[in-house]
Amino acid sequence: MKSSMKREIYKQLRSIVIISVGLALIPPILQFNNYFLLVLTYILLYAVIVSAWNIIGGFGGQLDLGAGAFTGLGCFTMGTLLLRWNIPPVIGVFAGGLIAAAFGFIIGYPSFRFGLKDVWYALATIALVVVLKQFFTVWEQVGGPEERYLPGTYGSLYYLKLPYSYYYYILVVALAIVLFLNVKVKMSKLGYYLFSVRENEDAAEMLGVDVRMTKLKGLMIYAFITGTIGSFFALISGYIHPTQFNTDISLQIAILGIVGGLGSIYSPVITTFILQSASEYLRTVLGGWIPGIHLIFYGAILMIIVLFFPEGLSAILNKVYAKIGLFSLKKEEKK
Amino acid sequence: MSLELFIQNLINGTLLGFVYSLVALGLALQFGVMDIINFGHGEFVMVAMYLTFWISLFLAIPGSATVVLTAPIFFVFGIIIYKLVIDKVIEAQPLSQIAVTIGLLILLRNFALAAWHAEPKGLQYQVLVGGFKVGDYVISISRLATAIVSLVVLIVLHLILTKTYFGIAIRATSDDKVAAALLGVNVKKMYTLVFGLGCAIIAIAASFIMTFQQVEPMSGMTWGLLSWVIVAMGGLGGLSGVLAAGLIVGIAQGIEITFWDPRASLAIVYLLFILLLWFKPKGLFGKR
Amino acid sequence: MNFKTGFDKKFKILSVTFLVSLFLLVGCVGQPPSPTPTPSPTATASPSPTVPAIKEVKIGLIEPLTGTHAVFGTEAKQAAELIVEDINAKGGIKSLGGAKIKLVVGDTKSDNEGAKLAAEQLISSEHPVVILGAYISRHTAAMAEVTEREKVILVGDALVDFLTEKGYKYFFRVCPKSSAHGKTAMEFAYETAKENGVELKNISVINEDSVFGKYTSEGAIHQAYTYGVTVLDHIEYPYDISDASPIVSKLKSENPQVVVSVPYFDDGVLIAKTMREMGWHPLLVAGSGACGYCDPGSIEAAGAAVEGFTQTYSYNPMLNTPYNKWFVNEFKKRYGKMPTEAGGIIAYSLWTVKEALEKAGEINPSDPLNPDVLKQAFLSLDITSGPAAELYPSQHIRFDAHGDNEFAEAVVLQVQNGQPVLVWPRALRTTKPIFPMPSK
Repeated sequence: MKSSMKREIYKQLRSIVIISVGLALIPPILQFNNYFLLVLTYILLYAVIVSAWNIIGGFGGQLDLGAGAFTGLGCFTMGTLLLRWNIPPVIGVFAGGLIAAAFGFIIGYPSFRFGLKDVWYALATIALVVVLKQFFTVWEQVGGPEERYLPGTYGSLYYLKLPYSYYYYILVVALAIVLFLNVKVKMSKLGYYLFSVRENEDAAEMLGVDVRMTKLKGLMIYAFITGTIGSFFALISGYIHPTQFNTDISLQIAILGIVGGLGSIYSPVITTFILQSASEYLRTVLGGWIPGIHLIFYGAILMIIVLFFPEGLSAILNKVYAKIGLFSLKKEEKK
Repeated sequence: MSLELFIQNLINGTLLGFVYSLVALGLALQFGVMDIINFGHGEFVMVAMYLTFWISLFLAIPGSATVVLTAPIFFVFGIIIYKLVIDKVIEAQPLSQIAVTIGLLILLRNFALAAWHAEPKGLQYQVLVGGFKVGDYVISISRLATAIVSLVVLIVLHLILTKTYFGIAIRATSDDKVAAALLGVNVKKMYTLVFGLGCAIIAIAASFIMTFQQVEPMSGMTWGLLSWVIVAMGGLGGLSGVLAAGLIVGIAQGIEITFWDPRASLAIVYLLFILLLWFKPKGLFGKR
Repeated sequence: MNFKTGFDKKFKILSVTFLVSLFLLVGCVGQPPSPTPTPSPTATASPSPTVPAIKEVKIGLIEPLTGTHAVFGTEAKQAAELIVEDINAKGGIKSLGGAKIKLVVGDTKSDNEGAKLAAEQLISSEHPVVILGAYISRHTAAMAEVTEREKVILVGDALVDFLTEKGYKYFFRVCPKSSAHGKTAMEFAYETAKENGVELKNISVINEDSVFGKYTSEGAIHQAYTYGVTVLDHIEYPYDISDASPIVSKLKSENPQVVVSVPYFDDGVLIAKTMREMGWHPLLVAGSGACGYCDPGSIEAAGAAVEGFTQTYSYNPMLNTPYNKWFVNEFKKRYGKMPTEAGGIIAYSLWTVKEALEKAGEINPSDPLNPDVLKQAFLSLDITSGPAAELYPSQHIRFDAHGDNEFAEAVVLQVQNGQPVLVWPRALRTTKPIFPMPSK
């Protein structure tokens, strides 16, 4: 039992290393073109957050739309620490993760305590995004309408004001870590508990699973990662502003997670890469022609995927994995 | 802070509350009966507002009069959307429903942008303008008309649901669709009609919103989330629940703006909503 | 089960730590900020390659073509297409051997990520020498980081003051900054009241809650203090507000003589309509900053409700010069509406760019498109005639060291009988402002 688990983890680790190395090779192939690097960095940002969302949304089946709140908190914590006390972002990003996890606790504890589920939980979390956005707009000592630009000269490691390739490689490492965390959680008791909650909450409760605590743990792991990685939004754009509490991010993350296929580890990430690149491609090709037409296509693609592949893209991707023999998903997909 | 201002804003908030309830009513009906989670609701409102604008412009009739045309058109629109999209996810898990309706949201919003451009459009032919005075207080005619329409729609809907065969079948489906099907109710047909009816109500709401607002492709944002909040607060405890929740939201906004900062008016409403979800998870009036 | 209890304990400790750290943060931010080093971006990338024989000069236009701000971007794009066509029809850039201008367009998607992506994409695939954009100040700032690094001249059409105060090396702005708008609105209100024998004693200021609204209203408030006018209240609201009646009720209870308002777009119409419904309006609603009351779209949407409202503009469609008349007519013919702020700024900015390119060809014929040569050309400009001047309110363009136009000026338009007419500055106006506003 123990050794088979170890072997499984080792196998997954191999897949993750393959993905990371593959990702690491992309920039040199593209000759460090700034535009492609920036696109890829944003896609990676989303991929990491989607992968984190997978823990609460995919494994646990909780439709969390709080990603915008956590990324915003990450940005503001990191930015405020830097602007007020000159604390370097290297520390700030993790502080951002902690604050986001704290807020995850604040919203999650009572929500799960009072049994919020499904759409009600989704609404509570997306409402949180708007509440925080408006709160930071009014709270002028920290937020306010004015953008607060982050200090530092270009190329400074202390201020993490770096060329895109640095962010890209940091995020590749982050993605590898989060993917491995996904594997770890999935193999652990927490993972089994989360799956049981997703399948049938009442039955899980009856069988002695502490449903509240399970969900809360999943939520806080996700919030921590989202807060930490979310602060890169501020680092890349170079300022903090209440618009970083963005409901669009919440919707994007959730929809990518759902379309990717709930509970699968790699499919949401791969889906993010496919759909976000398609979106950016449509934008460059069609964007200048008729405003909005590329997003019509994007919306239509999303609907088609959900309507005709209810399992998400993972159903298709699994066949592809089987063909190329990667990811060894035989065991893992049937849950 | 003068008392007059407070009372005036209480009046404003109440009138606004009726508008909110009317907008949320279509959603409450669809969600209550069919359990369909439609995140594209706000976008439906936006499209209906555009429809009102164009019909009013081409036929040169006041916005409030376009109801006779927009409501049937939107009834058909609702049925088409149901057949094309909703029917396929009606049995699916909530997450799929949300994903598909978010896709619909992105599609509709950008369709509006591509087809009608980004400039806000407001009605030119209007009969419901101005306000009248009651003592020191002003009541806006368009808002009052909306409130009255909202009440009328509520009462009519209530009568339909309680007095007609159709309504009883709807309620039966809502309570237990398997039992209803066994008793000879065509559930699929009921769903189709309810979705259409919900959309027709959205069209009525949109026609009256247009008497004091203008429409742009992003208009759906405001109405979508607010409607969901009202439906959640009303707790599906029937139509009066929706009305009460709408009034609470409207009045809360009015009071907040009187005493604090208009920038945080939605924050207060949503905070109230989150607290309510926690402490009264069944909504204010009902069983969920 | 020991797993569970063990976790519970750890979990409690952890959550307490989180909460404590949270409160520490909340407690500390109330303290005064310590001085922070000012950002001074330095460019590192290699200069863009130059072409020996120039047939075509690429100019980038990055605007919000989709999303919340699409209304402005769309008009800017229309104006740019029109002007580029005209420049090319008139023989292109003469000092560069009649090189034609090619417009390449990018979309910011009305968000910051999009603005940055669009700038990177345009620069890496098209190599434009000058980029215009992006109407929204924070998107412009995001783009400026890219253009500074790549040494591409950025001509901004966003008004917020700080853009030229950040020490950018390749940034220019032809249009007046936002505080100038607020100042002009206040000046106009005060002087007009005086002209009509009314002494202005108090005003209320309302603005939408963006950084643009903030700077503009501060310009107005500052000017009010200079005049000794009391500011009764300063209300900020989100631009997508669904109901303006509480705000108007508040204004009504304060009853100021003049309301200085910085609307975004929809909210202006909403406020005007609500004032009409509430049956109250001040002597004058002096709109400030670009759009919301007097543009054709607003007049169409609000109808009689905006009659008598005034608004400051960075561009004056009523300006009585041959080229401006041609531009307005052509624009109307092609797109079925009058050019407003967004289109006007792009029109004169593009002509200014054209003049700068001419200058660059004269200064350094061997390498005119070098960013530093171009910068020098921009700084040596002193335009008092030609299309650029004829489109500009003050008819004079000369850049100071920060990249702002020294002769920047905003004008005031007023809605009279459903048409916007020029009422300020005094020297330019043909019609007298209606004061107080007609009651509706």
